[in-house]
Amino acid sequence: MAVTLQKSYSLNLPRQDVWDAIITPEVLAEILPNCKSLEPLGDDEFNANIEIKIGPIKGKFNTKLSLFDIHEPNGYKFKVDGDGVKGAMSGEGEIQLSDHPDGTGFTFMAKGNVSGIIARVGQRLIEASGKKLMDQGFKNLKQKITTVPA
Amino acid sequence: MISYNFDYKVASSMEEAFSMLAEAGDDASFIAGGHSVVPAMKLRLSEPSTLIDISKVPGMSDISQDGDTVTIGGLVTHAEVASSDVVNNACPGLAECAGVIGDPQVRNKGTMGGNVAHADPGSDYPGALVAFGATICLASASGSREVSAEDYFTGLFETAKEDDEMVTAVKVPASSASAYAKFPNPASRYAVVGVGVSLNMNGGSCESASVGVTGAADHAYRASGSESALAGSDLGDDALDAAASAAADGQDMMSDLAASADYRAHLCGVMLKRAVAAAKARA
Repeated sequence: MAVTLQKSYSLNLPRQDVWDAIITPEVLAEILPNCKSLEPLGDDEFNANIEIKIGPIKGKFNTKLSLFDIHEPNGYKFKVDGDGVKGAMSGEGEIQLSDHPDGTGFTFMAKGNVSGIIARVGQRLIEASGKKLMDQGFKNLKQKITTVPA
Repeated sequence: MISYNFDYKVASSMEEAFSMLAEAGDDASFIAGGHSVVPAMKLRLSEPSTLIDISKVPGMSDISQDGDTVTIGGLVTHAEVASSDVVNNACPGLAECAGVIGDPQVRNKGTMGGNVAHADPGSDYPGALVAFGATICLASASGSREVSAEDYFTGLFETAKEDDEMVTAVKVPASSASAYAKFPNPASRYAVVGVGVSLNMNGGSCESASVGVTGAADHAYRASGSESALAGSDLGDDALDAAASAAADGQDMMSDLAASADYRAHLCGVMLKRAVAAAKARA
């Protein structure tokens, strides 16, 4: 089933600082919600082990993440392809950084598809779960870049 | 159901339940009525390595009233709440809510503690408990504490409960002018939207109101905009319309196959009006 996520956030930090965080693999690994490991596969390609726990549902996804259309410091597009025992997910999205009265505007957009048992029985929760993960990812980013020494 | 292998242990006291939990580690789960845990296990969405059956633990199976507070033990089933004279007299809205949860099998086996611990976003109790100002009683091996329902339900299946804690009871203040109205999903009976309302009436006017909404956002919330629209009014059409249109304010409505976000927001208002009318009739 298809899922669309979009949300804008803001950060009171210079755009370059936000950019540096979202393009650095080590930082990215800590931002991605429940990411257990992130290994580079090649240029802007990664293999991520993601373990999602939402209420009674626990699932491990072996996920391929690739970044493209990279425009420093404005944003990039990404593609994900994940596989797990409880289902599969795939999708494309974009992160846009922009000027914002607070410092930097951060917009996350993603369109994806979820299949397998999670989609069949958890459909009423997929969108809410996606939003939760998106908020969590942004929270991780905020925490990460505000605690990194300049 | 062809299950995977798991351990099953029966606790005969609360202390034993906590020590079994500590021994079994992260993947263990308490089970009481089994109407949240087992469906997830059947689908293999959840695979706890150990189930610790707490249904025989004494001291959590009673409904009692002390002054203006009704205490419902964690093991009390929905059917018992729905048919309890104590609950029907002191807080008819809660009995009404318990009576529309799931189907008879769910109501006969499912428990208050299990429901509150699971915190499904479409579950009925959370909306009623938030509306009626209930307190959730939690216990762990290291002690016990109480959390207001409003602070307890924090997100999608997320609560203030720690992994090593158990919901031992729920305390509900008496509220005779209380009601719960829901729009059920026709297949699952989960609340697409459910609204609990408690009114404090003085003659024909409403001194204060408390409104809890479940099913609409990813967790039950208090609709404070609706509460202030109702407070100080005679519950006439203008006040009801204002309260109905504020019922989804500031909340991120869920969207799924059963209902879009806009439709859910609309249902919040409709269910609110129904609950207010029923609560007013009981004042």
